[in-house]
Amino acid sequence: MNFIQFFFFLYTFLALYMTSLFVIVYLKNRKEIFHYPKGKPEPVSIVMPCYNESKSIGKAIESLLKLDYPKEMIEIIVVDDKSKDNSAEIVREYTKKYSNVHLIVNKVNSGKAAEPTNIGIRTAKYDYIAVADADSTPDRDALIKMIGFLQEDKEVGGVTCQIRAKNQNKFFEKLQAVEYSVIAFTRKLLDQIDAVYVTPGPFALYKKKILFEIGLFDTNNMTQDIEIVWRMVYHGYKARMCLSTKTESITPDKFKVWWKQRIRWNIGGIQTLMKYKSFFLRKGMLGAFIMPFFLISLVIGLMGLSLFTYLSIKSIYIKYLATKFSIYAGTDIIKFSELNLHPSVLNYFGLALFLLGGIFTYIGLSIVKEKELRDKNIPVLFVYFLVYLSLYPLILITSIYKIIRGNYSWR
Amino acid sequence: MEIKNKSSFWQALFSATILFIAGLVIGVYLENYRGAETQEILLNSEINILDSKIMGEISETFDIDCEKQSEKISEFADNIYYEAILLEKYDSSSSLTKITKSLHRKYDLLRLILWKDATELKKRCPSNFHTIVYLYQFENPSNEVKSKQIAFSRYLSDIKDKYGAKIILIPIAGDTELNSIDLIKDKYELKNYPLVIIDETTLIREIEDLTRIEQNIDFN
Repeated sequence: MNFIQFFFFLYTFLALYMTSLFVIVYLKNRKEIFHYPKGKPEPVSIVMPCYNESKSIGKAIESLLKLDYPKEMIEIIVVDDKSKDNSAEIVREYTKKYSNVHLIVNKVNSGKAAEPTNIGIRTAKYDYIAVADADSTPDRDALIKMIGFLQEDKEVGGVTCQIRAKNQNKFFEKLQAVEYSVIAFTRKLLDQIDAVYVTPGPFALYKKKILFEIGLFDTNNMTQDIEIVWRMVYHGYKARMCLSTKTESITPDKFKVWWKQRIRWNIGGIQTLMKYKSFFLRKGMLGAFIMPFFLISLVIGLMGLSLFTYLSIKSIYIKYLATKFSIYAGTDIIKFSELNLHPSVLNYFGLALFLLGGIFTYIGLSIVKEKELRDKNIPVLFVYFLVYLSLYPLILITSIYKIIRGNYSWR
Repeated sequence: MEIKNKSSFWQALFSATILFIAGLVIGVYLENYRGAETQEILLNSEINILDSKIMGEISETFDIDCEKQSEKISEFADNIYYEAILLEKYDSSSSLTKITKSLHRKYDLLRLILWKDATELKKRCPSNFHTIVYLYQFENPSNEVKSKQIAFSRYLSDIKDKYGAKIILIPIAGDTELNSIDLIKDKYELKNYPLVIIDETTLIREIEDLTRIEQNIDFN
């Protein structure tokens, strides 16, 4: 067995392990996947960091005001990170109209979401803190369905819900919608093994006491919503995922914006990995599963792409030379007799993995009830598999390059 | 902190291992199935070689006409040639088993015997066919050598299609560490592959010289 074969088999085994794990967890818990503990309403401070969100901030606040939750138990704190547009003015209008909406304008632009979020948390008067993005709109039942997770278990420090793509008109937006749905399904499966590793920015609920105990959001990290969960787990707490409610978030409709967003996510992920590297394969769930899983999620695509690129370049180079030599020799450059209809075992393994990925996505879309995406957008699914996912290794490479160069910023 | 569904991790490891091993077993089975086909090809070749040798001896003893002998050896050489192509395809598709590789040396010996028999027949009878021996690198050829070999194969395949039974095309791996092949290599001072030996006299080493093959075979 040569190195390429070993590499391929390792890749296959890792992919099989993750797929097996998700299938087993799903089969064991399929009846409880939408279950949520019935919670009783308790006062919640909703912190919303905001920077140049004039187009969406109004709708975001409206959606919070419409939550099916006792109005007197909600305060909304918008922390404007010195926006250049009129976001602060829009929020100010809401503060005049609603006594439970507050505005804090940061003195200087921090350039990251963590700092305004921390400012909001410090001024919050309630024991539960929800963090919401200024371009997201939670379902009306979001808070009431999520709070029970924090109330039923003192070890739970944070809870997240499904994040769904709000805009699904353009082809590129549909690709992201598929991705968000698969992520939501996967995150719920991770929840069943206490391995939720992120409480995404669009909407998450925390216990204030635990946030203060572990030191609030890391202002140096590009993905503070991942880092905070890892720190919670490090301190013996955990995060949960509620699949029965959702928050809709605006996804980028331009490739350039999407690319920049994904680079930021990757850089933040790598920063977090580096911060906790000494706990790799140690320190309970964090080192034993979350970190290896996160690392594998990051690099498995890179492994696959590296293998594919190496074999493709080699094959193209040989074909190029063979064509050149064939032209010299005055013979055919393509011969039907050269067609090999005896595929290698590696081809079968590759096909099996591709099919497994397809089935997993199909099931994921079915479970999160994205039937339209599943049934009416077959070309989207093909492009998602063959093109969209292939971009991830390139994002990772670019992110690593930017980290090495020290050339990255939140916005 | 008690982890939920802790057993799932071990069950997944077990399941992945089972699936992976099942995949390997199926893979080995498939390759062995091809290996069995290869064995069948090899067995037939051995019988044919023996047949060819006995045919040569019988021909001398019973004075059988040369045309009949040439016809038979060409027929046999064609089988060997097309089987060689199939064998190469099996070989390139084998990832888990080395069966075809180990058989390769034996197969090369049979091809060498065919070359020897064809050469002897040419000496015995008025020649109405040419032998074209194609020596190539089997073990780890560089990208350049591999590409060159593809071009050589394509060209020789064209020649074979054009002249049919009038040429006996014998592909032999030159790097299988067989003493008999090493003797040939010493005689012709062969070091690099691919190359072609026409009628035991003319050597073609370069792509540009492949067109000389047709100049060297004259059927008039």
